[in-house]
Parts: sequence; structure tokens; C-alpha cells
Amino acid sequence: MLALLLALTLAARADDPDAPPDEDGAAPGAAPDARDQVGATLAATMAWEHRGTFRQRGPVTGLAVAAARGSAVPTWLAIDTGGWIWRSEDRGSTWMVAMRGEEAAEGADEERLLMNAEALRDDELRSVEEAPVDGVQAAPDPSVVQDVVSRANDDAAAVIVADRNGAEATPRVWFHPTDPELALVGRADGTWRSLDGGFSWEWVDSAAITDVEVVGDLLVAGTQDGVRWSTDEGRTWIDVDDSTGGAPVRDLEVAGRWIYAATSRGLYRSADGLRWAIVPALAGLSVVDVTADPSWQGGAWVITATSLIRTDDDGATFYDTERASLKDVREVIPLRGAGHLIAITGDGPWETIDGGLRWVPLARLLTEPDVRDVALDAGLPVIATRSGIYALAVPVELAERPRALPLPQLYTMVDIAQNRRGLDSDMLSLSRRRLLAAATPRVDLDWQWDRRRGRDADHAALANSAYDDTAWSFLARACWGNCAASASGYVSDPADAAFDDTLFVVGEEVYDDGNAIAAAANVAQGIRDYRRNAAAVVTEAWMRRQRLNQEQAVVDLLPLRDRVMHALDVAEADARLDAWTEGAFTRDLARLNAPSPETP
Amino acid sequence: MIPFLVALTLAAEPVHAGEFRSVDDVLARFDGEPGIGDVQRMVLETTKTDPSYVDKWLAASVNAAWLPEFTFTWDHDSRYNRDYDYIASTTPDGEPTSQIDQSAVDTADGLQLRAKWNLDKLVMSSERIRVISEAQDVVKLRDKVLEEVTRLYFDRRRLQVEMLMGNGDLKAQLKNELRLQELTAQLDAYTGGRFTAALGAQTSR
Repeated sequence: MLALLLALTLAARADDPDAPPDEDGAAPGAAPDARDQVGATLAATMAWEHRGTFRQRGPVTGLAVAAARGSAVPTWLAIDTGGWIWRSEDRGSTWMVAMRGEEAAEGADEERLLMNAEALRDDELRSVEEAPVDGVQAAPDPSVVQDVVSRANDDAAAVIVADRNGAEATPRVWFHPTDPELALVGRADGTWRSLDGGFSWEWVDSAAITDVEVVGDLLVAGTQDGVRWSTDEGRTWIDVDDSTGGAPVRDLEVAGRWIYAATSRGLYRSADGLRWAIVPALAGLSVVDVTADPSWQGGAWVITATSLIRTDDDGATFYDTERASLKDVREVIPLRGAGHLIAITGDGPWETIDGGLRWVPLARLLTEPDVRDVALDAGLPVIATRSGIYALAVPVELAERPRALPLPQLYTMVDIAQNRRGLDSDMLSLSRRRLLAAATPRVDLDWQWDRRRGRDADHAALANSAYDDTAWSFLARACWGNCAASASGYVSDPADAAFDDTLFVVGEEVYDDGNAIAAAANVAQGIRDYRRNAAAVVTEAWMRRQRLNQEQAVVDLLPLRDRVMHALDVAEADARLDAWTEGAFTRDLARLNAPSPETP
Repeated sequence: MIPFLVALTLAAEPVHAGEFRSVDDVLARFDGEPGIGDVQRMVLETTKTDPSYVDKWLAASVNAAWLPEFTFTWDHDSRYNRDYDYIASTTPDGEPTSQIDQSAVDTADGLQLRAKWNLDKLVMSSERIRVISEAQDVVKLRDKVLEEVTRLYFDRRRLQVEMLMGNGDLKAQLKNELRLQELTAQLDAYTGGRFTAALGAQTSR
């Protein structure tokens, strides 16, 4: 209930432009220009955008983004409390089931499971009904009740699944950091592996992974039953028999020269993933998460049950970093840029750009503070909450900032791409051309010259005669229809006329002149199909260019390397559109953005 | 080969990322290389898929119908004729005696020039259908190779930026170097070697 109220509060603050600034001077949900007040925070310039819900199976608890491969959109994998694995190839716009949830373990006491789930649901519902408002007992808001009922049902379903399998494993999903095809999933029935980017899965081990790290050629995994490692890309797992004593591992992290394992019994570390020892300073503390500081060799943040602490010397000493009172910190994610972090807390995501001195809520348009997992896509966080998956995006008002260049109209680009030379279907508009062809004659012009000379002698009469005759003629002839057998006069035999037909090949088919119309129809169909394809490709390329254009508003906040990559993405999108429009996109873009004559 | 190695050396030259101040600073490092527009033109030239080819074919398929089909015929006829008259006297062998009655020499020459236009082929003809079909195939091929070359070009440029600004270990640098060579070779395959030639030409200036 507390989480819900906090979520509503956050959402209300985020949407309220008149909300007073927080202690740091940053107004949550402020207009884009507010970034000047708080520095280069994502909070000032971006908002959460919903990217999918799986409430029919239970809330998502695990989320992973595949490694980038060229300019391809990375695959997202999500797993819900029921163990269902979901896969998206378009950054969450559409999702498909990659694997169904667990089957009930044999011997499970179904009646006990249902009673447990029902008790949990009743507790949650009662907490809403009995919550006083301003000290006075009042009827709860029906929409709030409906939301809580839905959540309670989700939790009940999760309890059933966990109890059926005799464990309380939180389903997790993991992608190899450099191989986008290799993925692992840990859920109540063990660990599953995919070698095709999450399309198909094979069961590999009974212990469910909670986190995985790559150490040289080894995969080191934290499980509910200690640390395990694999030398064959996760096909087989070997239990590490060492000082961790099989403590459930919540998180693994490579930081400096150590691999850290966060457990409820303390923080363990290992140099090779095989031999582990407890970090003396944190022995006995319940450690939730460890995060390496990529901008400080040997630096790391450690989250314990009560505080966020840090080491700068490879775990030799630790100190408290948390000036702001972040509640219930669960995970810290470093972004690109030294000191730029996101903390996942019980109050939702918070952001800092000074290594944790000042935190601002990163909650714009986020209605659910209960974040279960977080992954990075192109350097920006994607989070899994009870109400679905969210990614950061530039809100509409930012997209409309003047910084975004006006692009040539999509329909203009599609029209140009579809009517390039060779794709103009008007060339084969059959009905009109058949009429025109029928009305157009065949024309013959004949010019003939003859000369005849001779002498005649009559021997009886002793008489001679001679002659020399010259004649010429000109004939013009126009013929409509089948002229071969009748009008020409030179081809009078119908059998000869048949030889006047010629065979010709179009595509993979052979036609004779008599079937030219059929050939034209087939060619026209091919052109129409390809015009549709061209429209789809150009639309996709234009939309990508539009997204890049909108992101331009916040690109200046990113490190130089990311800005260069963004510039290359823009150049590639332009080049693709130019290829399909024979350069029209760049020409129109230059024309639209040419300085006006009044501009000094 | 030498320009190729020069280009690779240029791309792989270790540079401290901190010396760049802006996106333009970074991209200026590649000013000596052909731009994507240049590479696309190279591909069109190599694959003969430039739109101007399609224009020429389509125009030729129509203009061909304006040319007539010519037929030239020359006819020569030469005749020689004699008529004989047989009289009552006979030869010693008993054969009848003949004497020429009439003779004629006749020569005839004829020239014929014939021009034939199938004007309906200005509107539609099997040749034009074939050309339109081929033109469509050319457009498809052009789209395919330009998409692929554009992808290769920018994959290569991103890798160059990574190599320029990254600080990977030796193994990663070797891997990147090989990948760069692979992408360069693929671009050469599409451009008939013009890409590397242009790299060398612009580097040597």
C-alpha cells in the first residue's frame, strides 16, 4: 500500500508543473529547460514510456537486453513470476512467448498452495480496506481497490508457482554481454539455456541462476544454492565447493581484480571465480547488490540491507556514500559518464550525476515505483515493474522542440521511392495501352522503280523495233488489327504469318507475341509487389530517422563517444533514405533547413 | 595493397580519446576517406545499376519503334527469244528445213524500296515489356546492394570510431583490426576495388 501511495505521489509530482523543487533544486517532471538547473540528468529531459505488460501471467521479475550487433535492434527478454519467457525484437512494441511457465512439481499440495495464495491476497485487500484517510476510516477509491485486487491476484499466482516448485526463486534472465545468441534463465525449476537469442530453450541445471558474469572463458553464476561455473557456455554447471557454503547469491559483479558475490551472509570475493573468501569488513551483513564503478579502477558500490556504501580500494575499506536518504536501495546502475548513476529503490528510480551527492527522482510518467529489474539498451535504462516494462524516451513536448530538424514528409519520400524509374506501374497500365495500341496502325511505305528494255526483229519482213520503258510507283498503306495475312500483300499465306510471332522471356516465363498482355500483367504485378516493399522499407527508415531526430534534443547530454555514434546513426539513416529516393531525402532536408534570407 | 595498408594504419593509429572535443573533431579524422555518397556511386558504377541505365533502356525500347523496317529489292530479268519458220524443203537427211522468222532481246530491271513502321509498338511491345521487367530487376538489385553497402560502410566507420576512442586490450585491438580488414574487403568486393583505391588516392594527397 505504501508503495502504491508513493507511486501515486511520484506520478502526481511528475505531472504537476507547479510542484515545488526538491531539496536539490530540481523540479520532478519539470520542463526540458530545467536540465540547466540540475545538470545533464535524464530526469529533466526524458520520461518513461510503457513497453509491454504481462499481467495475465504475473509481473515481470527479470529483464535482459542482448548485446548490440551493428545497427540491429537488440532483442529484449523478459520473464514473469510464472516463469513465462517473453521475447521482443522491436524494443517492447510487440512481445511473443518464447517459453511457457513451469509445470507443477510432482507431489505438490495443491490445496495448501491455494490456501497460502488466498491468505496473501486477503491480507493485501484488507490493508486497503482498513487504511484510514486523514485519520478517518473511509471507503476506498474503487479504482484503487481494483488495482490492489489485481496486484494481490498476481502475488497469489507467484506464490503458487514458487511453492509448487519448493523454492522462492525470483525468475531471472541473462544475456551474454558480447554474444547476443546466448541467454540463460533462472526460475523455480532450474536454469535454462538458449543458443538462438531466446527463441528456443533447453533445461541445463536444477539450480536457478540469479546472476551470471563472464570471467575469461568461464561463466560464473550465482544461484539459490551458491556459486557455480561453466566452461561450455552454460551447458553444464559445476558446483563450487568453497567458503560461500551454498549461500544464496543475490548478485555477482566483476569490479577491479575481484569478482564479488552478494549474499545474505556477507560479501564474498574471488580472483578466478573458483576460490571464494568473505570480505572481512562486511562479514555477516546482508548484501543485496554490488556494482562496479567503470570510471574508477577498484571502485564499487555495495548495497546492504540498510545503506549504500562504496569502496575505492578493491574492497579493502568501505564508506557510506548516501547523503540523500534513499530508501530501500535495491540496485545501482552506472550510465555512461563518470558519476552518472541510477539507483533502483523502493520509491522508484533515482538519478545522480555527481557520484551520489545529489539524487533526483527519475519518475516522469512512471506510475509504478516497484521496480523488479533493470537492463540497459543503448546506454539507457529499461525497467521491469509490477505494471509492465518501461523505457526512457523523449516525451512529445521535447520531440517538438525547435532543435529537431524538420524532416521531409514521409508520404513524399514513399511516393518518390515507389515511382523511381523502373517502378512506375503507369508504364504498364494495360487497359489504356491496349486501346491505344489497337488504335495505332501499322504503316507500310513502298517505292518501286522498273525499267524494261528490248529489241524485236522480224526476219521475214526485214523490220526491227526497240523499246525502253521506265516506270515508278509509290504506295502508302495503313493497317489496323491483324495485318500479317491480308494487308501486307507480301505475306499472304497464314502459315507464313504464324512465323512472324516471336518468343520472348520475361522473368522465368516464356511468352509469344500473342501473349504480350499476359506478360505485361505479370510484370505489373511484380512491380506492384515491390512498390509495397519499397513503401515499407522507406517508412521504417524514415521512422528511425525521426526517432534519431527527436533524440537530438538530449544527445548533447551524452558522452562524446555516444554523440559520435548518434551522428553516425543519423548519417546512416540519411544514406539509406537517399538510396531509396535517389538522393531526394538529402536534397529536401537541405531545402527545408536552409537559412531563410532574413537570417543574418 | 600499399594504399590498403596505409588506410588501415591510419584507422588503427592509437589516439587518446581526450584530444577530441566534439563530434566534428572525431569525424574529421576520416575526412580522407570516401563518403557514403562516393561509395554508393562506386557501387552503382560497378554493378551497372545506375538509374541512367534504366532511363536509356526505357527510352530505347520506345524509340526503336520509330525506326522502320527497310526492305530493298533489285530484280533483273534478261530474255532472248527466236521464232523459227519451218518450210517444205528437207535436208539430205530428210529433216525439215527451218529459217528464223522473228527474234527478240528483252531486259528488265526493277528496284523496290519498302519501309514498314509498326507504330503500335510505340504504345506497347514485347520488347518494352522485357525492358520494364529488366528495369524492375535492376531497381531491386540496386536497392539490395546499396542497403548492404550502406550497412557495411557505417559498421566500418563505427568500428573505426571504437578503435579511435576505445582503450581495449591487445586481443581486442587485433580482433578489431581483423574486422576492419574484413569490412574493407567486403566494400572492395562491392565496388570492384574502387574503395581501397580511393582510400589510397585521398591518403596520398
